Amino acid sequence: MKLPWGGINLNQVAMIKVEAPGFFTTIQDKGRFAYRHLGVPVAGPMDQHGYDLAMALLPHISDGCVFEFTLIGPTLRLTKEVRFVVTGAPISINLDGAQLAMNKVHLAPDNSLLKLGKVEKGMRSYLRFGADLGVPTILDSKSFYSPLTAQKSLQKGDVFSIENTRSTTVQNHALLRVNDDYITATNLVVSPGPDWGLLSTDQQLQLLNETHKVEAQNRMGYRLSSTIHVNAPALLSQLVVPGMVQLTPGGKLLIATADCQVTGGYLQVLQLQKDSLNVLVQKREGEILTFRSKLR
Amino acid sequence: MFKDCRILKITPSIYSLHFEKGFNGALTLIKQRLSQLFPELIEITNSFNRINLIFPNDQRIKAIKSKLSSLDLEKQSANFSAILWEIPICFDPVFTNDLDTFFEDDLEAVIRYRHDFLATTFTLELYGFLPGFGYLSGLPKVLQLDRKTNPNALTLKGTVGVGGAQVGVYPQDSPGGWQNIGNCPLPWINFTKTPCTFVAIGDKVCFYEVDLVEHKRIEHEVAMGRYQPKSSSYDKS
Repeated sequence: MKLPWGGINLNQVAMIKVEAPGFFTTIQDKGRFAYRHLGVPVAGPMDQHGYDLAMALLPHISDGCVFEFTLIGPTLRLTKEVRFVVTGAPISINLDGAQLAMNKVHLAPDNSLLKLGKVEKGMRSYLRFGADLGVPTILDSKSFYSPLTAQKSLQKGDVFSIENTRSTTVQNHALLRVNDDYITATNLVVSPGPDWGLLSTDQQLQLLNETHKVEAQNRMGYRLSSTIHVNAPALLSQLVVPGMVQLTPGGKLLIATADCQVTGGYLQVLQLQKDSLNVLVQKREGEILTFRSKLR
Repeated sequence: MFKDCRILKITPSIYSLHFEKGFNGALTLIKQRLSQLFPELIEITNSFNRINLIFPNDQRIKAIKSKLSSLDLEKQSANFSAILWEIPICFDPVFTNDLDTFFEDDLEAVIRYRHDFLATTFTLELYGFLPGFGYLSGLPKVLQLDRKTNPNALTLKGTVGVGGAQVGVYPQDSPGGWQNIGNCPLPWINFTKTPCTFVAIGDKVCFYEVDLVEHKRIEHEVAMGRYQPKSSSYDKS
């Protein structure tokens, strides 16, 4: 039999092979800091809590990469023994036919098939391997962001390496208590943004008291409904950061998330607290959210 | 402390200094002083009238204010040399041309607009919107064009756009709401190079017209990695 790759038997190479990419799966590490001055978004994980938990459960690996998947997870062939953990939104984890638990480190044997199913509640889950995946670093980060990185999302047939796995056994994490209430929470804690004062008191109260429906979302941001219409003066573009709530002339709320543009010209009315950003990015289209004010 | 400047808390780790009257040409100097004053900063960015301090961890606004009060810029002269970059622009009809639509096919108005645009010297204020998208200021009032009511689904890489008083070159294909007036064959950012941009904040930019043949030649030279943009030192007088 003729083998691809110049005669190397692929089954003998330590690698992760993507058999199905899932709905929308990316590689993320902590993100690309210090490049906003070039117009480069920070990227990184949408749900920082899910990411941090995955990192804490499989520490001491130089590679800070996780797979971030949305609604439907990928199916991966693992040719070499490797540890892994899944965090974030609850999702079914199937390893060679056996169902496994979330938030626990598992060991996949040589040549196993890891199948992530549908997200049960929430939006985004994280898969971390106890290995270096060999993803190229661009501007100090491995996070996917097209066209800075060649790839926008995972594709069938993509291959990642399994390098520098740790042979030491991981600690028992049975005592680790995972609180995933934020996945279903619907309250977003906010503080005033730079343009909060441009709203009238009535508009401010309206924004805090009415409910907002998630109309659309992606890694750049969430669009929420509102009934507020402001005739704001044309503003100069200003810094935009994840968690910033912007009000458009058409009365929509745009909440910036990981891949957001670094500048924007809409009214910057509110700022989400860090934890609330994790709540937001676990919401699906159609879900209803409210703001709760936090005194500065 | 600076005159006419207030501090805005964006997040617990990000603060903006808002300059009511702009920077008065002292942006580079102020940024330099701020990075000396706060060596822990991850990054300092700016907009047309704000300087953004991005800290690695949460800060108290009081502490920032008291540090800023020790700054005295009044006696400093703002003598920073700028470079003038000459950037090619092609008006060939193969590229989207919104001027014809904007001026309702008044050819004379389009020609006049292009002439006056080419006579303008711009200043690079900041990069934003997309990686390597530079915001240029300096467009005279008569050349300012309102943004489109409905943005284009696709604005091509290299498009020179005018959005109100701002001018910019699209570094990649993207949706866009600005008026497209021509195409620039020279990318402003190259992530495989260090530094990856050649036009620095505060530098001057003017455009010169090239035909389609020259546009293709420059594109080819860029692809071969041997194109050098034209530049000279900028004399303020």
